[in-house]
This record gives sequence, C-alpha cells and structure tokens, in this order.
Amino acid sequence: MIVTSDQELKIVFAGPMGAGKTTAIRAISDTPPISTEVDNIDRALCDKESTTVALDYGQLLLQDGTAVRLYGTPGQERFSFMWEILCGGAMGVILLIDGSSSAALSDLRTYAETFHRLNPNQPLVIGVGRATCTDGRQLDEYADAVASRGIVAPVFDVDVRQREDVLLLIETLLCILEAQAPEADHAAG
Amino acid sequence: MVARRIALVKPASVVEEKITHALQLFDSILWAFQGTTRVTWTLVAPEAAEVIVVHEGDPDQRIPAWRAGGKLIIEISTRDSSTSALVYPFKASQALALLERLGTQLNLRGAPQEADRSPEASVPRRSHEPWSFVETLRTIAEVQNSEAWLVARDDRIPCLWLRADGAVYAAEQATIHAIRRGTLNLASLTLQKGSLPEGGPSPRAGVELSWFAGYYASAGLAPWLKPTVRYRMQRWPNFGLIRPLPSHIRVAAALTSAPGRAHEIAARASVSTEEATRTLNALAVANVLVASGDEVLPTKIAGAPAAAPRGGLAVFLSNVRRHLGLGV
Repeated sequence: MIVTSDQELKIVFAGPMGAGKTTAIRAISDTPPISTEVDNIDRALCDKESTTVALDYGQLLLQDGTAVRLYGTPGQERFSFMWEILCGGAMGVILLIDGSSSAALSDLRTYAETFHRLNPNQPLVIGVGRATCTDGRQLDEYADAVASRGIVAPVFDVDVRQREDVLLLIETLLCILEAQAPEADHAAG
Repeated sequence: MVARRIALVKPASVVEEKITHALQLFDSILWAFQGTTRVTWTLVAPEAAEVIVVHEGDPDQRIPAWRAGGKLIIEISTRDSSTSALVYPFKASQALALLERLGTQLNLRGAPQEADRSPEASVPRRSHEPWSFVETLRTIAEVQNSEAWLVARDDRIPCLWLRADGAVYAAEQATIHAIRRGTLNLASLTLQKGSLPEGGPSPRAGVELSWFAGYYASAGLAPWLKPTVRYRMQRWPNFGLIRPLPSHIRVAAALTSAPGRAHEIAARASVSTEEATRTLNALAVANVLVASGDEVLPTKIAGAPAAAPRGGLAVFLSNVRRHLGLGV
C-alpha cells in the first residue's frame, strides 16, 4: 500500500516563547518555513525581536509524495487556543523548553500537563535547550517533575540550532510511534 | 600509607548467584576506593591475608583454622542476618566503614606495615571482571563525593578522569570515541585518586560514560538483573547527553509501551536479543529501569487518534527515516 499525500500527517513543535520552535523547524524542513512572526511586545518575558503569533509551518516531502507537516505553535499563552487546534490528530508533539529561563521548570510542568491533557496517548518528546548544568542533573530534575505527573516522556538536552539534535527528537518520536503501533504494523516493516 | 592484605573466598560450590554478586561488589568497592582510604588493601591468597572475606554459609573447613590462626574473618550474608558483618546488597559506605574498623583493629594488634613504594606496588592490580568498572560507577554514584576526582590508567597512562560522584568525566577525543565504540576495555583500567589536569580535556556528563560502560560490559544480562523479571522504564535517560545508537532509542521506546524481558523487548523493538539485553543493562546503569509492578503506571485516557498513514506505519516511518538520513 502506498501512503498518499492527501493525508494530513503532522508533527507539532510546542513550548514557550524563545524556546527555539522556529529554529527547530528551520533545521529540518525541506522548504523554508513560513512564519507568522511580528514584533515582540513581551520583551520583559522574552528578549527577542520577533515572535510567532499564529504558527510556523514547514514540511518534509517524502519520496513517495507524502508530506509531513511541521507546525510550530505560538509560544505566548494568550494564543493557547491554537494549541488544541494544531495538536488535533498530530502524530506527536515535540515540546521545547529554554533551560536558562528562571521559569523553565514551571513552563515544563504547564506545557507537559496541557499537551498530555489534550491527548494523553499522543507521543510527547521534550527538548531542553541552554541547560545551565552540564552534568545532566538539571534535566534529571525536569524528568522527575514530568514523571511525578504520570507522564512518561523523554527529556533531552538539545541545541535546536544543530540539525542532529532536532533529528534526535524526531527519531525518538518515531520510535515511540512504532512502539505504540499494533504488532501487525511492526511486522509490516 | 598503611598496607594490609585481604582475601576474598568464593564458596567451592555456589548454590546461589547472589553469593558471587556479593563478593564481586566487595571486590569492586576495594578496587574503586584504592588510594582514597587510610589503609591500602591488597588482594592476596587466603594464606597470606590478614583479613578473609567469606560467605556466611560457606562450609569450607579451612575457615575455622584461619580464624584460630588469628586471621580476621568477615562474613557476608545474602539474606537477612544479624550475625554477618555485611548483608548483600550493601552500600559502599558500609563496606568502607567496616574496612576502616578492621584497619584500626589490625593496627592495635601490632606495627602496621609501610606500603611498598616500589613502582610496581604503586600500580594496583588489574581487574578483568567485565562488570568491575560498571560496579565502580554504581558504587561511586551512591557515595556522591563531588569533591574528589579519580584517574583511570591504561598501562600506567592516564586516559580518563572521573569525578568521584560519577556525574562528570573527562577524556581526550580518541578515548571518548573508543568508549562510545566499545573498543576501550574499561574493566582493565586501574583507578586511583587523582585530579583533573589543568588545561586538560573538557568535562562531559558522566551519564554518557556509564551508559556505554553498561552497554558494552557484557552480552549477558547484568548481574543485578534477573532474566525472569519483566522490566520497564520509570523515565527516559537523557539521550541528549548520551547520544545513543538508533537501536537504543528503539529499545527504550519499546519499554515505555509495556514491560518486558529481553527477548520480548527485542521482538517489539525489532532488534536482536543481545542488543536488547545490552540496552537493558545500560538502562539499569542509568538507574531508570524498574521491575514491572514496582511503580504506578501513568493513567491512560483515550484521546483523539492521530492520522494514520494509509500505507502502514512501518512503511511511513521507514520513508521518514530515509528522508532525514536517520539510522535504522
């Protein structure tokens, strides 16, 4: 059977403002990502010049014609109504957190709980950028915080400017999808 | 530095696997803490030893004779015991406290022996037990001493520096590659107290070292894992720091969907049983593996299903991997 391109197969990149969603999509998208960015008026919250207000969009065009759409959710919580819309039917969510932010842990809890609540069976992979502690202990704390909420999700140190780091997150998402698939689907591979 | 001689005596017929593990753990602790304690313990034959470590139930007829001859006999038990000095699994701190007491006791008996300062004596014995290095990592992770550093030598040449809590290590790029490829026999390294050289290699996360040490230690299941038990992950290891092989991610993902034994996980992750076993070992060293039933599983609530590729998930995932150049 051939996968056709009229299906919406999508992966969502979520997380607070400045966590690197646009950068991550740019790292792997086959086409230059389309961003609906405007001047950032929340400079107190995140010091970057522009931010995404609706969504980022990129895509992977597979050899058989299948398009995998890559969506970046707007980071600001006042656009949270978009999260549910974008995540509906998605193959999985990659949550990006800025580890250098003083709100990193609370951001992680808020976003992980929100996306887990929207769809508990949807694979969730968490990437933490700019971690302040090089020995991994910061992320151990984050992983424990996620696990204590009954969410089994990988939490990795990443630098989304590096394509291989974004690919690590994608590969993990694919492996989780594979593991969740019925046995018959495994055999097909 | 005071030198003392110690012997570990394994029972002639081992009826319980735990006995071997208990003696291995004690051996690893001796090895890991060489140079960090007031007494230097050297492993020798029982006849030459001042202290002999035996299993509680060992019927060896030589034990009463050794005791009568003035040797200190330490009994390790593998089940609850009020009479044994150590009950397996014991903590490194318990073993070290016991060794400290024995050292004091021997000092009170007579003049301590000065440590041999010849170059040969400064090089500790090599341990070729496949799990000895991993056991050391597990032990120091438990002791949590972030003040000290240990230096690992290969043929007397320093090749790896390890902070004494195991959280950080440092090595030259070639050594790191060898660790990641499994071509450096970590179990053959000698480990002593030392310090990280100024301007030396940059520190890296210790979880990378312990992951690959656990993965390459043996094709068989780690001594502290049981082949009959189903395991699952309580959380994912930090693969961002470990940079695992693609097969490691598949095994880890397979463990999040359901608990399993090595062969079951292998089938689920489409990898060989050896690959699944080695990854289980690495997950255990990373301290993220639990026996099934030991923890509360996350609640599963039905949600909106994701769009399914019509050609089948396996074909789709294979296409995505090929497109992104991801290893399978």
